[in-house]
Amino acid sequence: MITVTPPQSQSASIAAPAIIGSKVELRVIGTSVTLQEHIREKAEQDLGIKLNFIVLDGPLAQREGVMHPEHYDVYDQWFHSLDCLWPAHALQPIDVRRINRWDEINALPRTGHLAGRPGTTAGSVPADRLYVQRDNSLGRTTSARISMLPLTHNADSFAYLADEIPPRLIDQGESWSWLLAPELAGRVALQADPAIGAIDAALAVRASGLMEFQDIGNLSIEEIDGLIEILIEYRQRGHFAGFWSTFAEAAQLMLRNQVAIQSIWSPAMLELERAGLKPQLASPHEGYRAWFGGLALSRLVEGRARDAAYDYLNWWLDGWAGASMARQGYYISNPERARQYMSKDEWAYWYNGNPAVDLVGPTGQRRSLAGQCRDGGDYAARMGRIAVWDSVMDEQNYLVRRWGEFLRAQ
Amino acid sequence: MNSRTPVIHSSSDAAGSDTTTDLYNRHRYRLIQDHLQRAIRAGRIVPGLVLLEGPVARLFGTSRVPVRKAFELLHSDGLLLTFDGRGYLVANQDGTAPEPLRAPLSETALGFDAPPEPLDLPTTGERIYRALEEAVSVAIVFGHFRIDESLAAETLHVSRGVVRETLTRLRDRGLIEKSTYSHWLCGPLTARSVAQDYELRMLLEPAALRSSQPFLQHEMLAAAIAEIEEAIAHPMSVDAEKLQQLETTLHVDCLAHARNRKLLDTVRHAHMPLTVNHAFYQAFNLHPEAGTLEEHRAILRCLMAGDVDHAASALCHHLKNGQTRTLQRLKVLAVLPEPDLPAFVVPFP
Repeated sequence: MITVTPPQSQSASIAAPAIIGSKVELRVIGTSVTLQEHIREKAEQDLGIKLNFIVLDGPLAQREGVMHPEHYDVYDQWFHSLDCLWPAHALQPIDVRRINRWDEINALPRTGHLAGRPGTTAGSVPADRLYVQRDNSLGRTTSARISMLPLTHNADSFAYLADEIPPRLIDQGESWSWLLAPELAGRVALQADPAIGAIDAALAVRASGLMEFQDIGNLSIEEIDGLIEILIEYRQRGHFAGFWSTFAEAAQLMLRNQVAIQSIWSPAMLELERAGLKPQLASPHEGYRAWFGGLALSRLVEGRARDAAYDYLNWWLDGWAGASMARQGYYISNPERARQYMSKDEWAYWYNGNPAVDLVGPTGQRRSLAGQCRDGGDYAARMGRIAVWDSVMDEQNYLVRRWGEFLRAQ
Repeated sequence: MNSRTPVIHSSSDAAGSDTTTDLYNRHRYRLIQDHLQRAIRAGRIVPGLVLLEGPVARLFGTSRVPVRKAFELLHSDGLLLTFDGRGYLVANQDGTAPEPLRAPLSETALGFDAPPEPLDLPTTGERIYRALEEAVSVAIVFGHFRIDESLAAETLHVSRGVVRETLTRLRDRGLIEKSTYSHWLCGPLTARSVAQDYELRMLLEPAALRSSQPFLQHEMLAAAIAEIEEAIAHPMSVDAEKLQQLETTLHVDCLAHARNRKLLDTVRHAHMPLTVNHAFYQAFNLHPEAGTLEEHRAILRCLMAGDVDHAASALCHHLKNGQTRTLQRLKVLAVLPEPDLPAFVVPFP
């Protein structure tokens, strides 16, 4: 018998749902992007509930999400992963009438683009998987039920140490092709999750003129084969110094492994700053790879636990959490509410793209950003220049297996 | 649902399972039906010969159940006729009734032109078939593999000939290929191949259904409708095996009387999506959604009413939705960790 179970170390701490005394305990599964201790403490305090954060890397959170809805009450992840969870009936629809600030949520997750800006159709567009349709599939036609409450989001790229980049590249301007520049061999790292890392790699391969893709968010078998062959060749030449699954690992790669350029998640920047490094986030001329995160309900959560889960979802839209996310470089879907919890300077830097004055991180640590501007400009400019959304492609299963070959190649 | 431990059954436990008895019987009746049909059409069985369940079952080395079923199907095809006596008569080539001829039923009388393939084999054969089918359908999710004939024979305690014969049957179902270097290859399972199989089925299955419909028996359809009503009423009782049985009723049994065998062979070759769905429901221990079952019922009801036009369009609609659903399920399989595969499933190249 071939049995599929999650690694013991990851699942051992997952307890059964519980009501401790009069307090409901809510189990939230997700990644370190949002499952942070200061968030947990503040939400517990505001809501009078117990929160158990189950922190995994992206692919493991998805696997647990699909296979074990009995292990969690709330799923905290990305819209693209709904392509794995929804057909497996792991989640239940969210009733938007129970979301107090539903009307405040901006146009991007609802319609796919910001007012006056074109949206991309490449990748797993969040708006296409927001509303639950009459036949229980997900789509863009509005209804009173949604799959996931849209919350944090960002336009991602890569970080680099400017001093280490050859002048030839600097002159050409920031481009995804830098990730494959021969001068940087041995000093490049990528994200290990194929739904994200493979897209960064495809953006780099395309920008380097090595291959064209008909739809970079939905590669064909031949395109996947071509991409993986190129990557294996680079890997065998020693081009990649490492692959990371969490932003903490990403930071370590730059701190310890001489990595000069890598795809990055914004919270890693805090750790790098703390260590005295001053990496820059790129605004590649080819556009960003974007993602949208949110909260969803396990199919099995009910009764008081479900009421508490709705309270927790609503809490995320009250402003405090949105402000905290901004301080690590992420946007929230109802920014005006978060603005009430941010200083003018914070708002000016994070949302308006103005030069930084004196900023702090999510837990009050000083940030050394004075005088700098955010890559790519203000909210609308950054989120309006998306090359592709994180994606679960039609051939995702094939991609995952071939990506595994690339990661194992020597 | 309390327990959701996802399990992909491998060959070892599927091989000895009692729950597959029905499936064995189903495969056996087809073997018997096919053999007798060929022999009657080729004139190798003398018209008028009286066929009785017991003696025929002994010759095929089976119980009477699959023989009875094969007789019923041959009767509905007009190859066997009832008469005022026990058993069935073999019809004349033009379908008319000859005088009953009571003669000992031997291998020669039943048109075996050579000593029969060891038809004590079906149970073993079906056991091996199930084992290899399971191994292949799990493996293809995870990449491209070669099936090692000798290792498979060793693992399953049968001869290489039996393994080869089984793999040939899997090839006929489009699950496995034979390379120019004589390797048995399977996988990888891709969205493209699933989509192409569905395109083929959307073209061919309605045609096969039109051709088969006049020969469908009222009792068979009534049983199929009762079965689907039961599933709709109690969806939680429909596990992966049960769902496969429902799929077989609609996509194999209801088409089985189509006159064009090449058409049916091609349809069967495109049945890999059924395997994907089986793997999906088994891995995640899920029950089918109401939509799938209601589409089945709609088709069966049209057939019962003799409305072949609506049955064919409902089948087409069902296959179109099935394509969408299966492609969505295929994405979900991406989260599965790679399992330990049997030793005879070897990564390729």
